[in-house]
Amino acid sequence: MSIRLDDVPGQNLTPGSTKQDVVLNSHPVMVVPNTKEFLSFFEAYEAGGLKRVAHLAAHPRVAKIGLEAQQHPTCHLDIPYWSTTPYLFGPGRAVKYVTRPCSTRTSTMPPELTDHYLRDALPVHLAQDDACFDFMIQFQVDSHRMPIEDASVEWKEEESPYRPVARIRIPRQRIDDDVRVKACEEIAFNPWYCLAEHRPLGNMNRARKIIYETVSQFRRESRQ
Amino acid sequence: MPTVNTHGLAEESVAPNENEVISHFIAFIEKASVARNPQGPILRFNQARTAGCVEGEFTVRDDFPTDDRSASLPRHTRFARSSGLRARRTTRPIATRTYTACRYAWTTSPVRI
Repeated sequence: MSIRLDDVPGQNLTPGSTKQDVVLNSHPVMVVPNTKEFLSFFEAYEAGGLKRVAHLAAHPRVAKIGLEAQQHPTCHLDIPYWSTTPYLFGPGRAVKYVTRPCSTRTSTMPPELTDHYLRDALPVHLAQDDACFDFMIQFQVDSHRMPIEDASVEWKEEESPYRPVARIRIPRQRIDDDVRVKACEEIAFNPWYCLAEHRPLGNMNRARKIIYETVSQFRRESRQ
Repeated sequence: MPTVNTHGLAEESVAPNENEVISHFIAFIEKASVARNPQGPILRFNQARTAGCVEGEFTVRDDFPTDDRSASLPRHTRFARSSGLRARRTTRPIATRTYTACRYAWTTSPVRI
């Protein structure tokens, strides 16, 4: 789940931007701690076959997190999301972002889990009811057990509770018309669209700044 | 293994070869993307399946915990301030503000282990 707040005043880390993006995942941690391990994982994944198996055998923690992250939720609106990577919260403080669903309605699991059942469930929910999430932050309170540079380590809620900051209300709406779908495909979220006070922290986020910009440009050029 | 560090809160530690790794990462993505899409435009490498985008409201709570009203918090409230949007009047130090122009999107990663 990604969130974009438009027209946010203040010093933005992307010159000319007034966006505040929040990029979240459906699992509390990344499968790898940093960009170096991510590259190694992707190379093995892309190679497939025995190389993929060998990589997972040699990196059991990656395999464990990957398996734990597999899930079949009833709907994108029914599950929590985590930033997995930290962000500045003013000088000297770091937080991770968490959203937790608070809708009164939850979807039911379809009899058959097709490749597109989640995409189907979203417009069905929003055609009938509002949706709701609590937006929360979690402060870093220990630099060892809650590291900045290792995105594969969960910041435990028992150690630092999630603190509700805002309520996200998604009113009932149609989302599957052609114009909306096309616009949706063209949106590119980037955690570096943000205020300086909320600067992305850690190896993964630093890498995202360069990789997102470069690869996005590469994709644009491929369409010309 | 998790990285062990001796840094203070919110402190980053940049590895000496970080930029080199990032360059290799970009080269890998570009090469793999071309291999996946030899004829047509390049699609997103790992987030190709967009589930949908919606519009909604983002309202900062007016009961944000008192102990978090530190020097950083007034700046954080700007996180939720937006021109041309509805904002309820309040005498509390943390204003409740509502976005009407925020967007949410979901994507499904094709990577499976």
